[in-house]
Amino acid sequence: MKRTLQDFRKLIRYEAISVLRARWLGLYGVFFAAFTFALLRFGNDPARAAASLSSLVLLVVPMISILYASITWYAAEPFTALLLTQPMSRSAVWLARWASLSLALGGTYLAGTLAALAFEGALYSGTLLLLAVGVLLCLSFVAIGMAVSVCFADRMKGIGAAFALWMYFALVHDALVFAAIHAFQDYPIETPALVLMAINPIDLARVGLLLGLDLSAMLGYTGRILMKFLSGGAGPAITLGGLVVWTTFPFWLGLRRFEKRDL
Amino acid sequence: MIEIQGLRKSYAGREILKGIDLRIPRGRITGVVGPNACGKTTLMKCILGLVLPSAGTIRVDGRLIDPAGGFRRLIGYLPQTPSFPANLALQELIALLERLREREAPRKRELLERFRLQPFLKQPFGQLSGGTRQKVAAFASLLFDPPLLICDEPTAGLDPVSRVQFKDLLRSLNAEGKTIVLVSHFMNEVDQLASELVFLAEGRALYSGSLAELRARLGENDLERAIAELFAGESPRGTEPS
Repeated sequence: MKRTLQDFRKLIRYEAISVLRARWLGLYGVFFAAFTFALLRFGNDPARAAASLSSLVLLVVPMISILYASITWYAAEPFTALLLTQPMSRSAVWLARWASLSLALGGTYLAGTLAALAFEGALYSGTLLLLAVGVLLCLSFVAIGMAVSVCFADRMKGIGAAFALWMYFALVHDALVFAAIHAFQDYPIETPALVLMAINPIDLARVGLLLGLDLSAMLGYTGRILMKFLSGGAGPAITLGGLVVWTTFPFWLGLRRFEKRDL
Repeated sequence: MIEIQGLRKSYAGREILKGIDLRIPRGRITGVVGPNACGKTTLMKCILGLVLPSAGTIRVDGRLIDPAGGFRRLIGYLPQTPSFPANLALQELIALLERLREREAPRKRELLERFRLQPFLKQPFGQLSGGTRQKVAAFASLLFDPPLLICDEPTAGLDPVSRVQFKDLLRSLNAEGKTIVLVSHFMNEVDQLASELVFLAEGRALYSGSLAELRARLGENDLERAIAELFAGESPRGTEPS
């Protein structure tokens, strides 16, 4: 662990420089700034603006994070091999890649959205929660994207699997949950629904935002069922904690795979 | 310098290396040749720790290769297709490598001059030509003056002038006492540079020994023909180099 952190400190600066200089990253930040600004300035209802912004964050942040992590992983593979011909641990390379991608994507989202919220005077506990959830989603989906990519030697298969996973979490999961709950409507469904929410980081984030922003409009089916369980003070903490688990678990799984992966 | 015993490697149920025993002697240039997909690059990557063997051991300068990678301080690696982050510049790469090795690169100035890389110090790698990137890779592999240099098809992307210069560089490095492992498709290149030869085919080392001994055994001066004879299975196995 000590060796990993030592190597990480040597590497992170250059990994971060390399990622942060990507030109499109600026566009990503401008996109969030412009969208947030437009919603707040031209929307009549602040609650609806927050709901729209939350929907955008739940869809776009995971998609960009998982795809960019996967694409970057494959593009950097020869350089990863070069790094590993130096006296350097694999875990440090893994940690530095995750940290630099998370810093770049999470930081850009945060800067763009925060700037627009501050400009419009819309900084309050709900929107701050939106910022935190967006950053956590970014950390989680970067880890998921890297973990998926390290399992596939073939670039197209890896990126395809990352995209399919995002599709599942963002779109398919709720439909399946709806079908399952409909099929078992005569039985108590609260505990299974809690489990179903926990296995989808986007659902976790959605419920967390729902609790913070008090927005029933953006409830997914799973979220609606769980609202009554998580509406106490511990609700946001539980969902944010779930997102932390959704970051550390794929990070750890991916690292285990990377340590045995041939390059 | 490198001792390999019983090295095996399988990918998806297919055995690429089928029990390789080799000794690559110190202070010589050893050419590693063989037909496509015979396991040359896999063998080199096993030595570097990039590919994890299914069985067998590899020792570099007596040190068993391990995941911690300390043995890599002894090795400079020149890959077949070098690639660097498009947004980093050469001077940043040098700084990164110096940080990773925790010391200043001893041959930095000399190598920058030799490869004529000073004009490219601040230019992002994304703006450099393939040939220049190949030179950067050669530069990086020699930066810390390693006693062992592993070159995988090092001249494949170079123009004829750079190719000649690179061969001269390998000769001079060898004259300094460095051990060089040269993986190449170009038989004439191996013939010109190497004194030792490893011939791989179908995952096995069909010959490892000195080039002079191979020629003497087969009565064949032309290396390409000698290799063809070996491949046809008409020759005895070579002896291990001393």
